[in-house]
Amino acid sequence: MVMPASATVPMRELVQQMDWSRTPLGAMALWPQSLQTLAELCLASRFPSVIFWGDERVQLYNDAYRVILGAKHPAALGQRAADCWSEIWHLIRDMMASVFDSGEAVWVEASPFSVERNGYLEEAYFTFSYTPARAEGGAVGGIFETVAEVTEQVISHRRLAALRELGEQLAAPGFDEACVQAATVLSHHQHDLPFVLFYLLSEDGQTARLAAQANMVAGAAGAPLEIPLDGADGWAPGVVLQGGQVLVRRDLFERFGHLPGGPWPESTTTAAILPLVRAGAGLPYGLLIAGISPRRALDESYMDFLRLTAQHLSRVLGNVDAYQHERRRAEQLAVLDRAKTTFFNNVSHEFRTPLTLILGHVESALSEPGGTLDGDHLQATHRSAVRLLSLVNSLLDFARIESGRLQGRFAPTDLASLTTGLAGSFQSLLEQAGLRLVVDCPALPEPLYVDAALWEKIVLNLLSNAFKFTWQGEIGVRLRWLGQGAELAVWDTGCGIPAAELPRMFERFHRVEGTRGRSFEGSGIGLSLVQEFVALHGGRVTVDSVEGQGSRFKVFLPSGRAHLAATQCQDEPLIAASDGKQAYLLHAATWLGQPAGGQAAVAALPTEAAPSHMARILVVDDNLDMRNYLSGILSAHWQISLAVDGEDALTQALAAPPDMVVSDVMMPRLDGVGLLRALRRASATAQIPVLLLSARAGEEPMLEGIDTGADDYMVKPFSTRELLARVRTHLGMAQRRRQWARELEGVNAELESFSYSVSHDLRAPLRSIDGFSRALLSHAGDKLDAQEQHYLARVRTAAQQMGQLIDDLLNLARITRQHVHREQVDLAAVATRLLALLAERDPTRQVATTLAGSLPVQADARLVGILMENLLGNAWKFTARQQAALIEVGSTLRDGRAAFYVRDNGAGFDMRYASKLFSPFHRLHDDSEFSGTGIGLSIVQRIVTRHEGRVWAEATPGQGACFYFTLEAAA
Amino acid sequence: MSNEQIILLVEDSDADAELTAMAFQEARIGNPILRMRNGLAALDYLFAQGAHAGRDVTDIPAVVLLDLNLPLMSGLEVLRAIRGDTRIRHLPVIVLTSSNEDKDRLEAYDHFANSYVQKPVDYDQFVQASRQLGLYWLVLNRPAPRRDV
Repeated sequence: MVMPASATVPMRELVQQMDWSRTPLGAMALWPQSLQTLAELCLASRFPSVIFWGDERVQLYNDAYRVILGAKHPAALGQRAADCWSEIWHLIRDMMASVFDSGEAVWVEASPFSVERNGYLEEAYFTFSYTPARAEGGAVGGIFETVAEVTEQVISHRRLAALRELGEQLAAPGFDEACVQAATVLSHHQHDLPFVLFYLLSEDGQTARLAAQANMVAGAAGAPLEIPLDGADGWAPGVVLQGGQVLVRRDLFERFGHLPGGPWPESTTTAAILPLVRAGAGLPYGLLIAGISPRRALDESYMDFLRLTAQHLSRVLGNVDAYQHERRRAEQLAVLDRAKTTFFNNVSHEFRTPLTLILGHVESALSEPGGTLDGDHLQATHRSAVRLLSLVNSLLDFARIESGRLQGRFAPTDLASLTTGLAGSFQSLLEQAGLRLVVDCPALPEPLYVDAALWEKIVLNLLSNAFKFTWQGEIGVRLRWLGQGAELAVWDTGCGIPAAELPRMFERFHRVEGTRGRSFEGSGIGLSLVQEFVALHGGRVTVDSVEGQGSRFKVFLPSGRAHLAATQCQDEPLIAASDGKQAYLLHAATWLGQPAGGQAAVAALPTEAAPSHMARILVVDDNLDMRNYLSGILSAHWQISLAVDGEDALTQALAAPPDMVVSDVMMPRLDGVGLLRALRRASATAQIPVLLLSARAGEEPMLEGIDTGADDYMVKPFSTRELLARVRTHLGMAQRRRQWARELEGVNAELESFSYSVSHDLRAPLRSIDGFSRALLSHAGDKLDAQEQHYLARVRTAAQQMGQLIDDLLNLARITRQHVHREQVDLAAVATRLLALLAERDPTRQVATTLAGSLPVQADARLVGILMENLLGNAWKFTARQQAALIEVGSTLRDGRAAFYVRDNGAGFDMRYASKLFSPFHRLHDDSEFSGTGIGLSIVQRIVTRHEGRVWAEATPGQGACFYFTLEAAA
Repeated sequence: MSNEQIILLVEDSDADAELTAMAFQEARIGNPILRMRNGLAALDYLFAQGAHAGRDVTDIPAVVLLDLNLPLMSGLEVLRAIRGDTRIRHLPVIVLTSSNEDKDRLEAYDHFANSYVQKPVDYDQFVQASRQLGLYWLVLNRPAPRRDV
């Protein structure tokens, strides 16, 4: 850029060279002394200063002032102020005039002016003073202005304020919220940021989504809701994301047309796109697109401001990121923690069952004189001990894996013969269970490096799992050579795995709930151990399954030894010397004798041998040994039936209710608590005492047991004597309860026959009293004087009242007996019908009614009909003396439940008597006022009570009463 | 109005029988009322046997007013016997009783009672009920035609 000569020439020379005769000031030589002195002062000053002389305000200025003039120099010299400052003339004209008129100086600080000195309107701020300069005559001849530009200070100050406001918000719950908060703050800083857009990158990094905006409408031109990151159209911010650089676009008008210019009418044509950088590495969180003020140049300090804004937001987003990461971690830990708790619960159950059996058998042997353990008891004890051992081994394996200390000892192994041997050991067990075993393990072309003990656990785990969940068909084991290694497949035709569970099958502690297995036993670590063992071999395990058709587990082991740590390999074949098979088989064998799906009951001890008057106890446990042990203890005193799980027990109990149920808690299909609830629901079994046996110790399950209605609860291992004592107690109590129930039934029957005879025998004489009194009146009426006729009328009234009383009493009794049959009833419709009936019976009365549109409720239609009849009848009766009688029926909320009400503006009553209101025969008004037997509200209360609801009243004497009622149990 | 046809009242209580007669009279029902003290006597009359041997069995009452609580033989048994005999099974039988028990009502209709009326305690209401009964069963209602035996 070539600077014009005038740009460098000192003002003193320019003033000298200027032909002043062509200005209103005239030739310099002719200037008054005052002007000459002033001009000299101005030119000599280093402070930006200018003289506006005369009525025309002709300008003369010094070198320092040229910065303020910008491109206006040199034309401004000798120019009239009105021409030079046309864009702000309206602001300064009057100020100048006042200086001329008053002769007093003016001082203006940081005044905003948009000046056009660099080819565009520029936002600028000046502090200046107008000093009057006297001419020779003493009048003001001109203005001497000293001025300082404070644009930089004002704008820096403003930007700092914006950054400080932004800094006050440091945390947000999410990325979007952080952007919205920042946009809200920045929307107040339109001078520096005519508009702001925040875009967040999508997960795949392909697009950016508009998260927040300031001074722009989301979705409008320039603010699309989503922008692609590649391509050349629109913002095309690709380079910002890759390079982390700031991109300045100066062609916004061409790209988007008009964009808001903040406080200025001009369009914003320039914007900076800045990355919201993620600490560390990776793609940025998103983009900040900032519009650049059309009246400011995008200089270095402007850029710094934008960078600081972006940095700040990056930091906030970083905080959000860290916070969310923390929360996810905490959630994962919580999940793991829960899983571990479940695991320990299960494991404690697993331990307690064999321990109970061992202790039970051993203690009973010790109490015998010989002190020996033999036969079935010895075998059961052995099985339990072996089970404990294998549990301990699994736990140790698990602990080793958890701490990373499990190492294999890999040796070249003939996998086919090892696998065939392992599978074969299940042959006889499967035969007993009626299952087919298919073993297809042809010799492999080369030995594989395998830890035989681990391989044994892999195969046995998969096989016993298959056995556990397969009730019919076959279980297969197949080995195949796949070139790079061998694949073992173990399949079954069992109950399969729900698709949703498949991805979680190898997770630690995960158990599929509610499957039809032979046993509920299991700690939930078997398959995760399989996976760990396979991983240790450098292999992988997968599962596919169709629910109801079967499952197939596949294990792939790579050939060779390159994938294994050299230190863990040896080249001599190892002879596996493990007796692990025995534990698996012994344990799996205890699952035999469970019915397929539980339909068939287990053959119980010969019950015909027991005398029929003996109480019968249903023993429920999914563990065969435990079942045998319990029936062994209990059969000495009572008849025993056996069930293998809750479902089986429920079927049996409903078919033939036992006298007591002794049940395990953790069982497949239906657990002990579920069984208990189901028994309590059915009327035939609701009263049966239930004793739960649990292996889960602690207070909480104890309460759980009592809460669900268990009569008692014992924790394994338990003492035989205590179990017997508790069973005896509960049987005795149940017997007494039954006896009481029978007695109660007897009393009830008596009461019923009593009320029946009341209905007949009391009414008949009443009829005679009334009828013959009436006959007497009509036959001998003329012979009786008024007093005697009055006496007879009294007799009749009394008889009729007593008749009514008897009817009401019988109604009350009937309602107490009646079964409540709930159905959908609209109380508003009932009220409408009843009120119409009342109006028909009593056509002289004028009663206004206000009814809710509909009042649906689940209730016994007949009973609520009687209820409403009584309440509306009362309301009708007690408003008889009212000029403008009003009856309202509606509903309101009380404690979260619908409470219905019948309100009247009648006689009301004193709330002191509210408590007596609902007792039978209690009346608050004497007969001369309002007639009645005092039974109506007792009937209302009985009906409400039968519906498990509540009834209450509010009233004021002389102003009316309101009766509220609910028809369901309180929340 | 068939003045000739009788009303058979089966009622053990003298007072009730008298009241009923009074009420019917007051309700201006002219048919003669024949009262039986128990179910056996009523059946003897209806089947023309025992004390009533030789009576024309096809000459049936206009209506039977039957109490349920009867000595020797309950009202329901009487009702069952009537419905079990083809000659008289169409006979209109009104159960007239003190009881309003569901059980009684159900049993009466189970045995094909034509109507069930509770005797009101209030004599005036009883007269009113009698008048309506008479109007319906003796005037409006058309009995089954006589069966050729």
